[in-house]
Amino acid sequence: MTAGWFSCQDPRALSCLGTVLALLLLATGCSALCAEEQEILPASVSLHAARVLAGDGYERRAVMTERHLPAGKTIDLDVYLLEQNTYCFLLASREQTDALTFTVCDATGKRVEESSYLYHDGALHVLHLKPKTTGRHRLRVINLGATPAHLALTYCYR
Amino acid sequence: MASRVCRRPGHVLFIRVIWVILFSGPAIRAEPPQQEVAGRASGLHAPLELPSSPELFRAAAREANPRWRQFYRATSSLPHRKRNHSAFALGSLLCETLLAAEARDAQYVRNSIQDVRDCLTLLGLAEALDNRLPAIHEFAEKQNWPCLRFEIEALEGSFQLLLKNQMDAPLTTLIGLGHQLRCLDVCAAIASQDSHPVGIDDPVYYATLIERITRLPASTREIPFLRDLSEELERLRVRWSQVTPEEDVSEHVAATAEKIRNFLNRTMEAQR
Repeated sequence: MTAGWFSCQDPRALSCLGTVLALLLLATGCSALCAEEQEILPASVSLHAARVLAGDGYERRAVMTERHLPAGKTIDLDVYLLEQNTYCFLLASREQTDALTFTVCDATGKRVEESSYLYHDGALHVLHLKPKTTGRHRLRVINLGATPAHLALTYCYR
Repeated sequence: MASRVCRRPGHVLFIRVIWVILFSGPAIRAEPPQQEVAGRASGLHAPLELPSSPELFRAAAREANPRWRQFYRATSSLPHRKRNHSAFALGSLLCETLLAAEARDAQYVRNSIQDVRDCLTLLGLAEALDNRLPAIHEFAEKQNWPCLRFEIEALEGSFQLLLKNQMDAPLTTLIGLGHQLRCLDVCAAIASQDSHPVGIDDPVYYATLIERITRLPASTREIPFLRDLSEELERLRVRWSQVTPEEDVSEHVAATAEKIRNFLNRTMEAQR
């Protein structure tokens, strides 16, 4: 007496069930890996950069802002900078695109001249600057590429 | 044979369900909807519109040479019976811990963290701290102040995330406000010692904090101490927006320090 198809004795059914379970396990693993990669990639990249920067006396903010930026679009993010400090902004995209570019403007919309702008390993944009004024600044990120980008932004200061 | 025929429909249905799960999962993950990304922009993924306390302290330290220990709060801020007060006090205590890090005072870090824990017990988040407590104590013991500063900010982010998950989102704003107010309190006290003010002299700073209160649900905004805070911040915003560049700001700094200190005292003392 069988109560359901789990106790089915049919070899074909058992084989089919085994295949399905194997696929399910495989898919779960892939999905978890995919999700983990998506979550960790920008953070781990900026963390690596922060470790390098720590040698120069920089400290990293524990928060980051994450945005979806469609192709050809621009996004403005508010940051509050203090003229006494020096900043190093870290911008990473999940797609590792080199089509992103970013600049910092002050409250009047005037571009703040950066000390340096580096692009590392197809994944990380690094911008050093020392603001001339204290107050709200605007960080403008432009996606010049043909595909959308998921970007994460944080900064270090000293 | 008859029984096999009967079982087949369930079998087929199960396989179909599995395939739907298999193929829909990655598709959903490949392109997170805008709403999901916006959701992630909270908690640890937070806007960077205001600087962290250590950033302000770093800037203030360049203007003066503060003796950080003299800015410790004379009385403990805890415990409060009401969750709203407790969340606000929690933010203020996290700032107190960062102040202790500036003073390189491991004992005061431990004391502040104990107060933080009392606060968290009331909010039902004590376990979240216990997981990170060994690291915090180790950083303090080993005088690893940069890592401690990072850990405290991360800790605040994790509390805010947990509160959001508990459907207590307004409390996350209150934690942030408590932290910012205590930070401005310290900056005002430093500026009172004849140094260039940092943070406290910017009307935009106050406007940002007022905006955060405005975004709270009406029921939370109407809490007396938040109404009080909103009015105080507005008065400070107006005061600093009227200051001219050539004006001596010492009087404004003194008034700001007094207003913020008085607000913190009456809020922390109330509802115990």
